[in-house]
Amino acid sequence: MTAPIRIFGIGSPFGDDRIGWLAAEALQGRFDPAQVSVSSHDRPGAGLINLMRGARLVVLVDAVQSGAPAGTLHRLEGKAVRQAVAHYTSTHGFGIAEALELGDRLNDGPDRVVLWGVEGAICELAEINQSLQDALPGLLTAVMDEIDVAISTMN
Amino acid sequence: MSDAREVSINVPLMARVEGEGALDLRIRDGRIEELKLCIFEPPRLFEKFLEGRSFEEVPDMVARICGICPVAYQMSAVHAIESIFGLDPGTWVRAMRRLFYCGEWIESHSLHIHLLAAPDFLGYPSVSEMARDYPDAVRRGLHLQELGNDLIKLLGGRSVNPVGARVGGFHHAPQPDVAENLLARLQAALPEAEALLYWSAALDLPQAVQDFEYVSLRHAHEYPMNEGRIVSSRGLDIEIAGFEREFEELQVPHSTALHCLHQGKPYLVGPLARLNLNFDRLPQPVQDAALATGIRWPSMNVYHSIVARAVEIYYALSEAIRLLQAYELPAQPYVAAHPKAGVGYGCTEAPRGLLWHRYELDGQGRVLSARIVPPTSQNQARIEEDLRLSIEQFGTDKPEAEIREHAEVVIRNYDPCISCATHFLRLKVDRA
Repeated sequence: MTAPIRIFGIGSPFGDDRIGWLAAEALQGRFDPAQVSVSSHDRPGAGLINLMRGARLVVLVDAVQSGAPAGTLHRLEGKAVRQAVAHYTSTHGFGIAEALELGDRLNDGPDRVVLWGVEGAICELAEINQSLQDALPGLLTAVMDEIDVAISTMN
Repeated sequence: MSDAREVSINVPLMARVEGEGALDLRIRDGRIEELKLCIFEPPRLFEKFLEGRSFEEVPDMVARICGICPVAYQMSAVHAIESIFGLDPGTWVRAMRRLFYCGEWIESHSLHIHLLAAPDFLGYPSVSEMARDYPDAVRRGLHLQELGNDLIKLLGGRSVNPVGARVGGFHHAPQPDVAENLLARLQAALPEAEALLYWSAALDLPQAVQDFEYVSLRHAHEYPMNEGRIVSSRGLDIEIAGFEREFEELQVPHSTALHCLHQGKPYLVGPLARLNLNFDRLPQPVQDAALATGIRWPSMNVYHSIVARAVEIYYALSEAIRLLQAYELPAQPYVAAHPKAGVGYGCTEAPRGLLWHRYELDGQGRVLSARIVPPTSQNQARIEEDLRLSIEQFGTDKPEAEIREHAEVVIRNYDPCISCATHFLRLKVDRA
C-alpha cells in the first residue's frame, strides 16, 4: 500500500452494504497505480489504520444509513466523516469512526479523508437494492472527479 | 427512582464488541428477573444459502459469514467436505492450514486485547483515549494484528474474505522469497508478543472465579487448531461427529442464535478453555512464559481470558515461525477432489472457540444440508450466566449507567463475535 491516493470500497455481503465493493470493482484499472490504488475491504475495522498509513488522500466508499431515500449520495470530509459515521453506519465493534480517530491520535492518519456514502436500505443477505444500482454511475463520476481534483492539486 | 421497586435498564447500543446485538435486563426488588442476550445470526441464513451449491463454492461462501474469522469458517468446511470424499491433502497442506490459522489467531486476539478489552482494565472509555497514555501498547497491537493479516494474505490472497483456501488445499503456494520475508518480520516481532503476555497479565483484572465447564479440541501432540477430539473439564472426550448427540441447541425466543447447552448447562469455549485443557501441548518456552505471569493454569477466573489470548498470540507467532522455517514450494498446493455422497463433520478452533460444521452432500458434491455452530452461540448461555452472577455481585441497586458499563465489560471479556453470530447489536437494559 504505497500509492498516495487510496480508494477503499468498504462493505459486507449483506444487501446494500455491497455498494462499496461494486464501486471499487468498477473503478479498478481507471487510474495510474503509482498515484491511485483501489481496493475492496470487508468490515476492515482497525485494519483501516494500517491501510491508510502514509496516504495523502483516502477516499472511502460505503453504504450509510441516515434516513434519506435509498440511493442518495453523501459526501463528507475530515472530522465530519468521523462524527457522522459514528451515528449512521452500522458498527462492527471497531469501525471506520474508531479507526479514523485512533489513526489521528497516533499521528498515523492520512492527510485527508473523504467519505462517499450511498444511502442503503437493505442490510441482510439479499440482492442489492435497485436504487443503489441506479446511483452507481453518479457515484463513480463523483469519485473520479474527486480524484482528478486531488491529482491536479498534488502535482 | 428511589421509590422504584422495579427497575429496567435500556442501553440501545453496545460498544466495542464485534458486531451488533442487544442485552435486555429487568431488575425487580433488587433481583434480576429477566436477562436476555439477543443475537441475530447470519450462519442460520448461510446454512440455507449453501443448499444446492457445489462443494467448490463452500469455502468462499462461508468465509463471508465473518469479517474477523473467515479462516475458521473455511477450515471447518474443508475438513468436513474432505472427510466425505476420503481425501487426505497431505503434510504440506496440513502445515499451511496451521500457518493460515496462526494468522487468524494473531489478528483476532491482537484486535481484542488492545482495541476492545484493554480500555476496560486501564479505565478508558475507548482505545482512542487509551492511546493518549499508552501509544506504544496500541501500536504494538496494531503491528501484531497487521502481521496476522499478512499471514492470512500469504495463503489467502487477501486478509478479508480470503479466497486462497479450497477443498484439497490452496489455490496458490506462496513464493519462497515472500515466505522468507514474512518469516523475518515474525521473528523480529516475537519479543513484542512475549512482552504483550506479561503486559496483559499485569493488567488490573477483576477476580471472578466461577464454576463452569469448559470445552475445546484436544490433539494427540499439538496445541489444537484444525484437528482433535472434543474434550471438556468434566471428562467429556468424543469424536467431533458426536457433537450433536452430546450438545443440545435450544431455540430461545429472544435470539435467532440457538443456545447451546451441555447436559442442560452452559459451557465455555474459546482461548481460556483451550489453554486450560491443552497447557501441556504448548512448547516449553511458551509454557514457561505463561507460568512466569504468576497465574496458575488451569484458571477459573474468566478474566484470565485476555491473558490466554496473549499466550496464544505468543504461541501462534512461534508456531508460524517454526512452520515458515520449514517452508518449501510444493509441486502442487492441493490434492484434486473427487466428489462422493455422504455426511461429514469439521470442527476447528476459531479464535473464539469451537466452530462445528456438518454437511450432507450428494454424489456430485452439491450441498443437501449444512449446519454451522459458531463459538459465540455456544458461549451465549455462559455469558448470560456470568452476567447474572456478576451483576448480582456488583449490586443491582447501583446506578443504571454503572450496571450498563459493568455488563458491557462482562460481555466484552468473552470477545463475542456477534458479527458471526449476529448482524446488529443493541443493548437494552430495562428497570421499568
